Amino acid sequence: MIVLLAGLGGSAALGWYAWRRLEAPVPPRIATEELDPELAEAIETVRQKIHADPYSASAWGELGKLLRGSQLLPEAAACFAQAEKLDPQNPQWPYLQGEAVRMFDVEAALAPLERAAARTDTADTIAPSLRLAEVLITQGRNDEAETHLRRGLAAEPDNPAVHYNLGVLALERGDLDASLTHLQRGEHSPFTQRKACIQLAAVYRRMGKTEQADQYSRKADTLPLDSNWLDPFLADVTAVGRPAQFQQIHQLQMRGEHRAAAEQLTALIREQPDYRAYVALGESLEKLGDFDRAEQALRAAIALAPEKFRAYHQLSRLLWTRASKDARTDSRRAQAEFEDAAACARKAIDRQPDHAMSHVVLGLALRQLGKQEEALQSLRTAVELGPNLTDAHYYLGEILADAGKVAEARSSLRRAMELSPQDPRPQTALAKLKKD
Amino acid sequence: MKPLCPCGLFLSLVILTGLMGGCQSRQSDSSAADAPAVEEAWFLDWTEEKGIHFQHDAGPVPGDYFMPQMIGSGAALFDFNGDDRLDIYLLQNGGPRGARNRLYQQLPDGRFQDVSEGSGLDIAGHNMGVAVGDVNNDGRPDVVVTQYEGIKLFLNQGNGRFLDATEKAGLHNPGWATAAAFLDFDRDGWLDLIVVNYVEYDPSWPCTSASGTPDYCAPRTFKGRVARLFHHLGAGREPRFEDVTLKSGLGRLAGPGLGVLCADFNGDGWQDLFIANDGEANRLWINQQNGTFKEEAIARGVAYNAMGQAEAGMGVAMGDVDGDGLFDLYVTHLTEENNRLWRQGPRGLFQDRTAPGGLVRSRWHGTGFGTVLADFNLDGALDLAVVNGRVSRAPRGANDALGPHWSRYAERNQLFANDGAGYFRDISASNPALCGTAAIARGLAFGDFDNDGKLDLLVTTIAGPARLYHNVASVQGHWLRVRAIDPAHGGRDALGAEVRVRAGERVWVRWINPEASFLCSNDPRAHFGLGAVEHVDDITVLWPDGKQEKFAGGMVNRAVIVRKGEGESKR
Repeated sequence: MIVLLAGLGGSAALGWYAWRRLEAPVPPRIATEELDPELAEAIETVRQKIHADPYSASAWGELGKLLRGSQLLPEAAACFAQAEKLDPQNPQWPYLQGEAVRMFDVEAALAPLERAAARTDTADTIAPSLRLAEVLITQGRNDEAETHLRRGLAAEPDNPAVHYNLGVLALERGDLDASLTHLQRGEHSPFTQRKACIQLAAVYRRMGKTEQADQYSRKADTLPLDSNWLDPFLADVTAVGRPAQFQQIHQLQMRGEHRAAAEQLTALIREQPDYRAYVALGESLEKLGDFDRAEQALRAAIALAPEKFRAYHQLSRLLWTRASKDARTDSRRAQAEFEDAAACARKAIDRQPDHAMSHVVLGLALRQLGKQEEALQSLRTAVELGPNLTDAHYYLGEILADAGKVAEARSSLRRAMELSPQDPRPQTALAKLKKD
Repeated sequence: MKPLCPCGLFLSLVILTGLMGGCQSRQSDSSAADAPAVEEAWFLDWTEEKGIHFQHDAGPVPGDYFMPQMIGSGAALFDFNGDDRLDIYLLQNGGPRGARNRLYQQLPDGRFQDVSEGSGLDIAGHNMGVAVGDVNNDGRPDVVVTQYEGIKLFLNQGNGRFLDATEKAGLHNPGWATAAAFLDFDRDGWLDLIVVNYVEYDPSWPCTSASGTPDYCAPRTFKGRVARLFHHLGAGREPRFEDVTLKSGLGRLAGPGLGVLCADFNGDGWQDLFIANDGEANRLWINQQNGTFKEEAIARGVAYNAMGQAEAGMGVAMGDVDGDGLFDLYVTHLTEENNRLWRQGPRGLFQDRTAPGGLVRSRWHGTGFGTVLADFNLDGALDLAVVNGRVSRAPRGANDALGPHWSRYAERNQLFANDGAGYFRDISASNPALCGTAAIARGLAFGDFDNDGKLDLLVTTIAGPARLYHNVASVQGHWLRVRAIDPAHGGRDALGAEVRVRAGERVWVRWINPEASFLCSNDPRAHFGLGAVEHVDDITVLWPDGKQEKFAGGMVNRAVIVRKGEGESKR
């Protein structure tokens, strides 16, 4: 009897185990042949984890995050959906699912985000409520959005993103005063300052306050992109593979975070030197004032791909900047650098003849080398190609003034002033022209 | 027979249950099928019947993912020979050694004949878009073609011939030109030209997707360029232009421009300029009436979406979707964004009304390019058409006929019906000819080819055939077509004129504005769907120079020509 029962139990266990293996969820098929090798390898590693334990929510979540970091969104969403089935009380999974799905099917993102919001205590985080509200706003479901925002506001009364969205809703319903109040709460936060200024301009315009509207429009145009608000659920979603990392680095550079960008680029180059990484590193190092290392990076880029344009242009600009500094203390060295800058600028122009800034750099280098006529021609070309470039007009004005062409010089300098009213150089140069 | 062993029976049950459960759990969730077509189609494919055999040349693939391949090309619908029949000009993008642009003349029987050879318009190159306008006021429409390397102006000589007059006209536009439009910004009677430029593209810069697959570069990889404004210098033996980009103020701001619209945005009777930028703030240049423009897109609500984000602006359509007499704007964007409907109200100010317009509820949407707001079924309300095509590779191809490279960029088009109050319903499923086949669509041009009062459509696609679609919608009302011309300026179309048709309390407004959609020039005649109205009380035209005239109304279902100076002056 005991043997019989043991046999029955064993059979049942075996049957259950067989059924479980038979029914085990399978990761979505991802064509890895065309993917970055590092990403492909990482995907395969996590797939193996899932095969080993297909009922592990964390393994599914890990795969989802990996795919999300590389913008493979439908596949990431499928993984998060599976993780939720296995770990239904954890708000992380429906949140990440909704966050990924909203990028290609906004309406379908609502249900998982609603589940995430329902399972999250706003005392822990308001991220699901905030994300859900943002999606509801894009769908025109403003009342529901407001409910979730008010929940968020109760937990975090000073959250600028919440205030920003409440400001948008108030503007939608025509309550301009309320809109102003909320938007002003987001005016100085790095997460919302730019978009707050954009909306404030529109609100003031609707109020008939044109001057304030213009002021905020101008301010919005000068501000960098807003940083993404700190989303705890996305904190460990990282980009794997060089292309995804490049995109992240590009975002850092767009936000002016060059130190972080340079660190990541250095690490990438250490793994595998490549042209793009060297050029981007050169750019960030130059912005940080580390000219010597920037030059090294750009020369390395040129050595790798001498037929390409960008490294030559950046190097020419870098050399001119450094030479201008060196000219105060070591004129011989500066002259050599100006020669080098001119040579690099010419190579850049050979590769991209309509690049305005390359002509600016060439003109400036030629000016320092005493070749005034050639310099003038280069700056004229620069102005024609890039009429929006303050530097092109300013330096053209200076060279024209050097050549005694005062009327033309004034015209160029005035143009530079109109383009960049805050830039003191054209004003100073104009004043000097008047005195002379 | 020995009874079945209990353990065996139990095991069998377990296995059986497992198999059944397996079937259920392995059964993939199938999303609901698209709603079956319940309405008649509005458009049928007319291409073969009309004799148009045009295959777009986008250059070699897979190649180096040369970015201009992903953008062009557009088309023009215009009557080049003055026979009151719309002709077609189609552009190629295969480069200097690629296929040549084609000019198709519409014949009296409605078919089209390829008259490219010897026309002067049969040029090769990386041709992007086209603008049509009579630059020398001789009554014959001239053509500007935008290219990756600049622009070209062709003067209509008559007899089907066009002469390249670019250099003589002083039109020098260095860089990658995309959209262009004619307008008379200083009201001197001569058509000026706005050329929108894209980015400082570096073909040697390698681009991939975030997952590492090679792909076309995104515009944010490069700096944008300024749009250029060319002022017509007036009467003379030959047209000449002055580059007033700097003087006008447009030179102040660069951007990756793809779309353009010339219209009076603030109601002062002067033409303003809207530029759709790809991934950056749109720009709205308000005419200051003194040769300069002031940028006001942010304050007027059309720079960014409601969340303060820039979107990929490509195609632009204008029209009064809610019947309040003010035009609204519709701009197309990427798949992961949403096309944007900005409703005007009060005058000169716009607000994002995409969601209330029902335009986020469509089951599917793509990366939109060409777009048109027009009353296709003549019920008195403007409907919406959008043509789609990706700019980044999809994991799988959507149309094998396009080959392994291009099929990954193909998407279906969309058609929306307006309920009369500015709410749109997706009727794509009912229109398989226009919306059923995935392609990489770019240009969408509209015009009444057969002069039957209903607007037809022409779609251009990358590396695919151009297709002409006949409007076969059951007529739900009446129509009127108005051509507004200026006899003092060679009898040319009065670009920038506003035409109002009144019937009782109801007023419909249209604008003579052929350059809209994406890289296209459209039928310059104003088309009105009038619903049940059987008689029009009057037609009022606000001419580009600010003068207003009223013309007699009359019966519907006809074409009318209104001539400046022949109406009753209102101001």
